[in-house]
Amino acid sequence: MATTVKAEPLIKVQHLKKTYWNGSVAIPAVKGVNLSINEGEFVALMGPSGSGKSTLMNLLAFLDAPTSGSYSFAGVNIDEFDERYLAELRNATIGFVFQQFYLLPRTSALDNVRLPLRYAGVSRKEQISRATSVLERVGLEHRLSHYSNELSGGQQQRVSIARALVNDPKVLFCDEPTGNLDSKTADEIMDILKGLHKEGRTIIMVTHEEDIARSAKRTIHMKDGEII
Amino acid sequence: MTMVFVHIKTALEQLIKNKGRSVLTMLGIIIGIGSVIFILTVGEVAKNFLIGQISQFGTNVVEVSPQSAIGLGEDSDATTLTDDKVDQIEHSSLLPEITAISAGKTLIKDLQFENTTKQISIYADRPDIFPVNNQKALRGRIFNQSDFQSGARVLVIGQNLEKDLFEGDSAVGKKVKVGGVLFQIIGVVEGFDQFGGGFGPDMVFAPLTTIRRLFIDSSESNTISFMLVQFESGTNVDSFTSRLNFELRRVNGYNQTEDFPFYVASREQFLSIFDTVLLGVQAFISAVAGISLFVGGIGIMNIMLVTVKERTKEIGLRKAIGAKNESILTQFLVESIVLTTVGGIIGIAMGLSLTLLSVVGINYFQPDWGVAFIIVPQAIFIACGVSVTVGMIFGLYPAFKASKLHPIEALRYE
Repeated sequence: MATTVKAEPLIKVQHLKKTYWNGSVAIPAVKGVNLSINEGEFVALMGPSGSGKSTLMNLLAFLDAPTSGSYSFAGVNIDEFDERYLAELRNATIGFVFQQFYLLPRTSALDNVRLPLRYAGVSRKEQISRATSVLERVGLEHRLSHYSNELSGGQQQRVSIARALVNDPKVLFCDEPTGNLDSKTADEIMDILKGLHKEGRTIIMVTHEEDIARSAKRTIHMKDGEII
Repeated sequence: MTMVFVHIKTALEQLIKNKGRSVLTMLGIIIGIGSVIFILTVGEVAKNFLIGQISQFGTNVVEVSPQSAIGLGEDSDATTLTDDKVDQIEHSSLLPEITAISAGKTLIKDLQFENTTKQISIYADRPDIFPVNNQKALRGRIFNQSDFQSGARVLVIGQNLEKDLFEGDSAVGKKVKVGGVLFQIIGVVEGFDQFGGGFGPDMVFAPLTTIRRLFIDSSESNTISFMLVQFESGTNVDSFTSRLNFELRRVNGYNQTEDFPFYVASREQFLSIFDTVLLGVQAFISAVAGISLFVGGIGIMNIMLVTVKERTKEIGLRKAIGAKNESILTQFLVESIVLTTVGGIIGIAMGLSLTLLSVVGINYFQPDWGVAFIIVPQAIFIACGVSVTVGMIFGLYPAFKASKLHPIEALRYE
């Protein structure tokens, strides 16, 4: 029947809902979202604060469990949201780049990047070789042993991109990746992300800045917990 | 496993970064562990010293003295030892193992040599005092039966007194005045330290007969105040002591069930009494140290809770990139254990230093005691075990709290 082979989307959610409870008052943060994202896409998730874009990202990135709805990731239906399982999923398939970098202070760039591999139980030798190669990829090959707090903001964000890439994730989630950077550095970071997209990396980026969102190939707007 | 090493490294870095705070936090552990190590080590040092002293004087000796003589009971005829009673004991058919009996009195007198006057404590005894105490003459001779019978005015002194009085010269043959009466020194014995001696005046030995004639009131001319009964080696001490008790009751006119106002103890028993007392003191100090460890543990828990709060974002990040709850739990538990273990190690070092300092101090003031510093490995093992356990117990709650944090809430924590 199907004559054209349509690739299964990497991410497919249907009627995804997340409701927070403040005492007995229900606060719906995501109200039944349907969304498909294909492998290799560069998607910007936009919306004002309180629009539910961060909550949606947390759900897509396995940081939180939905209240209801279905989520299929790489063809696998994720219906078990046990903390342990989610931690393993995040470790194996997701890379995170945060606005505030969240690097461990007084810890070398190399050790920061190695961290996800430690939790994955990768051998020390492989940790170092993989961490070194992703740090080279973001242009920090001569900063390997520098403490994270000795680096500039742009360099810190590059370390955190390297950390996000080190486990070769299926999706890179970027939460306001340039929010703490000046415009020149922001451009450098966006260039890296664009480069990664060109190499075929799937990127989902949460932002409220139009010109940053323009780097993405597709923009999803959210308002009041719904996609508009 | 490698993860644990990383945790230990992280914990040590945290500890060094917050030096002041860490030391204050560890203080309770340091004091607790330090006191346990100190009391256990000092106890062992004291015990070793005492064993050395006692075996130097021979352990096959039972001490007998009326309780009145050691300040425990009423003085009366029935509780007074006399020459006659000593003879009965010595020749008792129930006590064939007796090899020698020392029976005498001590009294304090002034000893005068040229312009020097020194207070001394005279051991007025039978010649048997020397074999009983395992003492031999270093120079000259000890007094003998004929000195004893004739009431010769002869003295045997210790090495230390010789050194003090004659500054390198031999004391043998020298004449000194004791209580105004001229005596001749006939021999020198090895530095005489009675149990726990060294305090109080130097001791010299003289025949009991001589001292009685010169210094003792005629009403007490046949009494003695203590007895040291030496028995053949290989004798069953308990059996011997109970037979000796039996005979002492008989010669003093006590029936075998009455309270008996005599102190009878073998030197081995003395050691076991000391052991019991030591154990009591050690248990008490350990209990106090336990309180310190408990309070210290609460301090650790408190600081670990602060640490978890301070590093909430770090915990969030670690969870976001894939740390499971047990990784976080282990991380903070290891930090807590590292904190108490470092505290414990400092405590051990302090306890040992304090003991060493005491030993050095004692040896400085009492060089002839020869007190030796020893390390008690069991005490150190116990201290390490306790440190780790305290860290584990009091670190568990904060570590558990950290492990249960939600990644998003932890990341957003301000």
